[in-house]
This record gives sequence, C-alpha cells and structure tokens, in this order.
Amino acid sequence: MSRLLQERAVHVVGIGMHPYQFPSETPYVHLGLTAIREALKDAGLQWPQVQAAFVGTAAIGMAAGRVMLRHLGSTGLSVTQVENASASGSSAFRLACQAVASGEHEVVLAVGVDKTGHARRASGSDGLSTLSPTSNLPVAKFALLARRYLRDGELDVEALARVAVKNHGNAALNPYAQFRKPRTLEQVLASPKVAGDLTVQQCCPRGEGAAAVIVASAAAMARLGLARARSPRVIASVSTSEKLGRGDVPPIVDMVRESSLAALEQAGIGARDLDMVELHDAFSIEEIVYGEAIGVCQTGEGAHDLARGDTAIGGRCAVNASGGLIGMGHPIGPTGVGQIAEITRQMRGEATGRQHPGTRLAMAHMIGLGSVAIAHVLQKTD
Amino acid sequence: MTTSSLMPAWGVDHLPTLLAHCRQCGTYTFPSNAWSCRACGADTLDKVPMPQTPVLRNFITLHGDVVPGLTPPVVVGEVEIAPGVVEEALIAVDDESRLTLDMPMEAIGADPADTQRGLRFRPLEAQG
Ligand SMILES: [Zn+2]
Repeated sequence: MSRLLQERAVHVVGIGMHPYQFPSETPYVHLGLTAIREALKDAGLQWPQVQAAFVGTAAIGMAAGRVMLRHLGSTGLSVTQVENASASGSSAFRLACQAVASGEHEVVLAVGVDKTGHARRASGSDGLSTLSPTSNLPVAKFALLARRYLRDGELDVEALARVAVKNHGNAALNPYAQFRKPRTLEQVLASPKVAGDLTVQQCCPRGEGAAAVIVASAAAMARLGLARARSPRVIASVSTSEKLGRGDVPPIVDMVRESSLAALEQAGIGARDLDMVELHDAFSIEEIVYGEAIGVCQTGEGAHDLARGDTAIGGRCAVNASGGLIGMGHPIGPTGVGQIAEITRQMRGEATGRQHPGTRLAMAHMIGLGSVAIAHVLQKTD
Repeated sequence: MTTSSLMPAWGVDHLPTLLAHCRQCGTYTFPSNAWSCRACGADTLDKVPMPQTPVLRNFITLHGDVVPGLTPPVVVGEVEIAPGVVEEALIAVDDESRLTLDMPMEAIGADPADTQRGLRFRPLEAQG
C-alpha cells in the first residue's frame, strides 16, 4: 500500500451519515441506507455506478451487507463484510481505498453500520483464563493508564475531564452526534465515577448509527464530472497491531506511535503539519496519550496543550472536532468511516458551526480491540 | 476454559505452575497453559511458579457496576508476577489508600472460604 496511493490517486467523493443514537428498535438496514443514500446524493452518483462495497460492522451478524444493499438495487457489485472491532469501519475504508488504488475498481463504497448488543468477543474463547475478571475490560485498562499518566505528570483529574468538556462541546455543534449537550468541567467531574479517575461523562456511550463514504479514482472523477475541490485525497493508509511491551511504554501507546509515524512517512509530512486529527477517545485519557504518540503534542504536554486550547476547534491542531467517541458516539462499525466523513466535511469548509479553519492535512486514527491500529491521512484538494 | 465469568480458574493450588517459561528465549508467559511463548512463539514451555515476589505497579478502584457479579467498589491493580509480565489482578484491600506503588505483594485465594478458585493479591506485610 505504501506507494499505491501515491501512484494512483484515491479521493473521497461522497459522504453520508445516519446520526449516532442510543439503542433503538430501528432496523440496521434503515440506518445504513440513510447514510449510503446521503453519500450518493452528496457525490452526485447513482447506485449502479458503485462497483464494490465494504461493510464495516461488529455486532449485526453474518452477511449484513447484501441484505441491506439489495434495497438500493441488485447491481451485482462486489460486497465484503469487514469486522475489526472498533476499527471495523476504518478497515472497510482502507479496503475501499485499496480497491481503487490497485486499479481493480474506480468507484467504491465504505459503509459502517451497527446496532448494539449482539457482539461476542473472541478474547473469552481463547481457552485461557486471566487473573482478573476485569482483564479484558477496556474501562479498567484505561483507568489504570490514566492513573499512571496523572501520577507521572503530577496532574490532577481536571486534566482528564477537559477532554470530555472539549469533545462534548464539539459534539453539541454536530447534528450527527449522539450527545448534543455541552458539559462544564464541574458536570464532567461530578458525573458518576466508573473506574479510577474516569467519570461516566469521560467514557463513550453505547449506541448505533451509520456512516458512508464513497471513494473514486481521479480518472473516474474526471469521467463522471465530480468536483475535485470537494474531494480530499487519501495520501496514506496504514494497518498495524500491537507488539510486546518495551519498558514503561504501554504496548497500545507504542502501537499508536508506530502506526501514525508510518502513515505520516507515507504521506511525506510531519505530525506538526496536521491541521486536524480524529482519534479513538473511547475514554478521555486516550485522547491525551494518543495525541502525544501521534506527535500532535510533545510527550508529556498533551494535557497542557488541551488546557491552552491548542487541540480545540480553531487551535493549532483540532483533535476530535466531531465530538470524538465521547461526544459524537462510538457505534463501532460506523466510527472509523464517520471520522473520514468529518475530515472531508471540514476540508470542504462545510462543518457549519464547528468549522476548523484552514484544514488541509488531517489524520484519522482508530484502534480496535486486541489491539489493532488503522491510520489514514487525507489532504485537501484544490 | 474459564469456569466462571466472575472468577478465573486460577487458585492458590495453581501457584507452583502459574507461568510458562520458554526454553528457547527465556521469556515468561502468563498463563502457563498459553499456546506458546508470547515473545518467540515456541511451544517448548515449562510450567513454573512466580520467579519473584509479585510487585504492585499500579492500582485503581472500580466504582461502576461493569463486571457482572463483581460488586463495586473493587480495587484492581497491575501486578508484576515475573520479569516483563504485568497482569491485572484483584487486590484484596477494602480501600486503595492502603496501597503504595512498587510494594511487594502475595497471592491469596479468592476469599478465606474458597482457596481453590481465583487468585487475589494483598500487600505482603498483611501476612499472618
Ligand atoms: Zn520464547
């Protein structure tokens, strides 16, 4: 993949969303079709022009794609379901980009759609026992990471809570977000404690929704008359997984550092060139440590940069302008695709009410349980 | 397989064979019935006890009702049970204020009435 995206340009030509929401009786097909129809309309494309679809989902069940997509017309397109835990949508997007970059297809859909409640984790079926019933519980893992970060940096709990204040504030400006209420520092801190220093307002909600993105080759854009200025180019795509820990750096943080560095190298830019990052803030601490690992902030400076407003909309590098997982929501399958939609919207200057000015280079970085990491870099097209 | 979603199968009777030690590269792996060495992938493993006094490297209190059957508040720690092997474990104290970083620990059974299933850790000085 490392040179494919440089050799054959892949552009995001259409985006669509079904708002993230609390679990409901709405069938997933309705969620997914809403996002896909919006993306088709946004791109100015008809369904028969889409040659392949990658469907990111973790909890709906086997073969969710064709059951949903047939309602758009049985065109015979390639359909592949992608499950990669929280990175399912990001992986679907990566495969869509590869399908175009490889020359196999010219117009490809990546759609993430999910409902809660039916996912089963393989970690409980590996035949091995853990020491603690919390061992596969993300909130415990990240509460421990948060405690370590606060202790090492001699920081107080407000440092964590400010992530939630920023992201709930951004989400309040995002019509697709699950949470639409700004929260004060006092409210975030006063919400019930879940684990360690993490309060409930610093944890992403359970929810459902859909996000769709259509990617196309430059040749297809020219042939179909699609607007280049509305279609950011994907200039890096990287997929990695966790290695064994080394020293005091948690393996997941090392994974974020290595995957984002590889993506930046592929894009030919530095972390300080990024105007915007959408990343996996399932828990507040993650945004701070991953921001440092990506290089948006210096090591140990993440909480200070946040407090100064450097990672706010309008700051040096907007982190989670969408509201992130904490504010916009984390329906699993859609999350990574929704990140691409947000970045595209921002690069077009269409993020009304939460527009980060001058967004030209942005990273979408997602983590999936296990852990795996998927990183993409997008560049505004003139 | 785990015998219960609440409490893992490891008990004090498993302490002599808690970890796997790799004959190829010397790395310790938990648990001892792991499919292979976590570092090199070799399956030439010996079952061994903890090669050191376990050490508490980090800890928090779980406040929320996040594990079915586990009644909060519960103290959860990261315990180094062998060089490079740091595992989450339940810490048998009522209150995390009794704990300090890097304190030596000892493994005990799940509770006084049941030493056959589940391991918890407590500060070593609490012994006796
Ligand atoms: Zn080995």
